Amino acid sequence: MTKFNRNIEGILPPHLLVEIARRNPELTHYLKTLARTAEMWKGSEARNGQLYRFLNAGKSDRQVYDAQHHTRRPGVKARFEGEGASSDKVVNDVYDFGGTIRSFYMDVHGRNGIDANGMVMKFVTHYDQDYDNAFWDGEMMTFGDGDQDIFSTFVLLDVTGHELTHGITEFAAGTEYYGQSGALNEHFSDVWGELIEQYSLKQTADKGDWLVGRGLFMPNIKGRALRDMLNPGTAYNDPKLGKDPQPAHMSKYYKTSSDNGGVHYNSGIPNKAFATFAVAVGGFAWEKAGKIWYAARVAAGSKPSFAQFAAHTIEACKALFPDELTKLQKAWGDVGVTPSLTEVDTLTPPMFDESASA
Amino acid sequence: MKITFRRSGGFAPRLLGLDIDTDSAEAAESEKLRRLVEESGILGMSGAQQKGARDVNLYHFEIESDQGIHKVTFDQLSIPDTVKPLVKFFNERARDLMPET
Repeated sequence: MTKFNRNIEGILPPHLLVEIARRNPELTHYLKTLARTAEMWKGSEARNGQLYRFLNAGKSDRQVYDAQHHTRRPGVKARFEGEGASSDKVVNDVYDFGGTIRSFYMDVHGRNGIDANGMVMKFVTHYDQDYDNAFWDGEMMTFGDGDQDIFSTFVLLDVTGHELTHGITEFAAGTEYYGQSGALNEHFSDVWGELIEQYSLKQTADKGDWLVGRGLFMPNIKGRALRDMLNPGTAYNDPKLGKDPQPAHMSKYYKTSSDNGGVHYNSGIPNKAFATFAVAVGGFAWEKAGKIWYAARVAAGSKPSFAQFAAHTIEACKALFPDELTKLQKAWGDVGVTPSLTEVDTLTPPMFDESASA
Repeated sequence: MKITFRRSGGFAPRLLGLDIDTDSAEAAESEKLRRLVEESGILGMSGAQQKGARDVNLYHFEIESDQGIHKVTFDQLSIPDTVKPLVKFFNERARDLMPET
């Protein structure tokens, strides 16, 4: 039996079978070969892992629900994978966005959905009343309709990509959600939300708007979007909202224990580094900058500081696109981040709560 | 009793807040707030946040009473039912705060 297994391995290694089957789903005989190979290797868990995952992988099917303006989730079924269009535009929009995001991750990063194994993508629409938010809860994405006073909608392609990427970051890297690690977690979601938008529009980096949530505000609000990756701190300035508080440089780092240590504020710093680097490189941002960031996110582990993550992007750049290294070093330098594998986050205050009685 | 309330977080992170001192607040409001705090049991609670949740709203309370100072944070998915009326009370009254820098 052992000899037979070695023969099979020598003829067509499992990773090649998986790759052929993945790229050519119409070639069903490859799938059968794959299944037979997995059967013969039963008991060899290390080898079977890849085969087992492939053979049992889902297809990142979309499931859209309607919470009907309640807070019970997911609500009632609205449109599932392969079903015809709904009469509800919001449901159809998020369904289509899910398809675009799924294609992006597969085509650009070879990733099968949120968990890399085809986990179902669940979207909850029409959550609560006048709800000004969208969030990922560890299992599904939830979208409010906005209050129609400041916020008009949260179902936008980049916002949907942002929320889904939170799931991917959790599965791929487990990046913590406090302080600089948390700001990087937010940053990753902003990066891929924007990359997905540019990919869908076939935009080169210099043509991208680099705006997070363009179209999210009501027309009377003075703002281009919720965040501006190229120019953090300039996205909006309105009496109802105040001014965009995102810093664009480490000298303006926002020290707070609210918002999980300022995760939605300080993400402006790495956002600017990524956007300026991608524009300096030119071409499609997902082809070089995106691939460097994709590799660095995992390599940086679960609790990177800005300096540590920057150091991992440098390492990834050296390995993948060494000709772009000078541009990357300049991008981090321009936001005041000095790449270092050992410099931890010493700026963020401790968490707010759990203090003992005085 | 002095209560500091802050709402932070969310994909669109508006910082909302309200500080109330029941000794100086209007009598009916003060009585209502004391009752909500007592009925919530919040002074005996630890905070809670759902593992893996991202972009959810956070509710921070700092309550100074004759029992001392108690600080606690819940996210919107983890608010105990007894605390929801207290959150609603503050949500309805909280104002936009500019992030301190």
